[in-house]
Amino acid sequence: METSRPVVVKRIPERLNAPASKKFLSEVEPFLRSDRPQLVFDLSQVKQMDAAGVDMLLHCLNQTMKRDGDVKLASLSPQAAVVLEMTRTERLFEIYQNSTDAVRSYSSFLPNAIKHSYAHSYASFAPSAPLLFPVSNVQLAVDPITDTDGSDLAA
Amino acid sequence: MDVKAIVVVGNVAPPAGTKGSLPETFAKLPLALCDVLGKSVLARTVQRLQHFGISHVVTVCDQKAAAELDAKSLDDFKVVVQEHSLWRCAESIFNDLVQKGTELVLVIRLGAYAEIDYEEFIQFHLAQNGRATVAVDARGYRIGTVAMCASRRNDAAYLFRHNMEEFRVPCKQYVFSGYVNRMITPLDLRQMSVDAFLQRNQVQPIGKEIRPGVWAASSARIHRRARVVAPAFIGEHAHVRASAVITRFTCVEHHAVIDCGTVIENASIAPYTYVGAGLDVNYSIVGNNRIANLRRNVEVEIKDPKLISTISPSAPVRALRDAAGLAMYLPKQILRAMFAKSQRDMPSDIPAAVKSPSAALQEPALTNPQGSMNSPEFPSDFAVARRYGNE
Repeated sequence: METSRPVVVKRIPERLNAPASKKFLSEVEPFLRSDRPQLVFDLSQVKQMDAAGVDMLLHCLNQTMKRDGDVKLASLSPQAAVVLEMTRTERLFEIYQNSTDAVRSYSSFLPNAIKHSYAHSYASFAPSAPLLFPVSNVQLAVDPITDTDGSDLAA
Repeated sequence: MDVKAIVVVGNVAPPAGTKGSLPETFAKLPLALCDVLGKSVLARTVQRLQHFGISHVVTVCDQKAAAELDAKSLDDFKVVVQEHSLWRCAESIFNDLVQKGTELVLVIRLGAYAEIDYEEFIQFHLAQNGRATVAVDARGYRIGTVAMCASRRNDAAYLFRHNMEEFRVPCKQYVFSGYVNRMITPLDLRQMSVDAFLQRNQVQPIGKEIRPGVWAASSARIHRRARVVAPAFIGEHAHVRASAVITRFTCVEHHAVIDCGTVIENASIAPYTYVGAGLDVNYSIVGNNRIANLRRNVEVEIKDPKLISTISPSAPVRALRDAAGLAMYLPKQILRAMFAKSQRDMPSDIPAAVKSPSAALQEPALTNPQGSMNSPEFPSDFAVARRYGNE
């Protein structure tokens, strides 16, 4: 199933400190406010990242989650990867090796998403948090699913 | 017999046409000056020489390296600071020692850490009756230790002018089969700490074993709610704050501060390093505003003092800074309470939330419970699987 909504890919600046984060946030703010935003942040050029940068990424994730969207990260530079790992935020995002894979993941079927999620650079060691699979595009035929306690999961 | 030693620290040129960090360095400092369980490799090597009766040791290092040494170390190791051409300086020291009547000079480049039995090494050199003897490891690689007859000035000059890599005439080789750590990358520094914990070498932590496998200096401050899991080392005046976890071969060197809730796992924290609150540092070496992640084999500079920063080595400066922080705490809290924007999202009232149209259904959730079934956007055969659970 292909999604009709656009996926926005933004390249994060080389230095992601407080002023740069503020500027970047003002650039992506309109996308965050859209309905079910689908964003991909390309971190390949990031050479320096501090707590303000991490805070900005979490803010974006928070805003998109509120609107039933998602933010995915792609092409992490070693510097960005180290900071995200150190601040324990890398486990909150889906991370892909490149932007193309990240964009494709928004429209891919579940098994592909699993494959791509495992393909990123963290595959060398076991993830400590459960992987977040993009299931929003999953289409299941038949009746609404009910949980064991009888509640409707589709509701 | 009059035996003296010259220890040369650093002076490794980067390989031609390469970029990135130099070999044998971390944060642009020689690994030989980095602390391992409370003492640097240089200090341990000098201590080892003194243990074998070689009390006169002269250390040659550059200005940057010397800046890392405190006044006591500069005096103890008889450090000679030379900005350029360390080997020329070493050559002139060699000549000075010879003029003072020294019979044998040990030249050590740090470099590698090797637990050589210097007495046996010197005996071997004398028995071979050669001009110079070089120590090699079991695989035949040189470990940067040479015994040189004082009378062979030309051989010594040739050796120094070729950075201890070439000899004027073929020399004898002393094969050493004990513990050697080549100390080329930060990974080797980390490995040395792990080997010390596992007692694969003779490196002893500077502190008292407070629990099996946990060494801490008497002046270390460990919060009662912090957790230190063996094997681990906490150095002098190090401060481990509440809810921090120190585990799996971690070394927190002297005057380092681990802030609340931070997990340090299989890492070395350099002296005078502050590690911020709520971080997760694993398989890394941290110090001088830099972190070397050994898993990724990358060294990154962190400029945010909330994450990693360097504490002043000067005690009055530290005390002044602490006092200023304490004095500023209350006014800061008052100002924050008065002017800062609340970080907390105020929950909307429940009736309004129920009546407002759902983003997916485009109409209030409770007015049409079967909305999703009849919606043109979501056909009746469409179901949403939840993200977690048994789907």
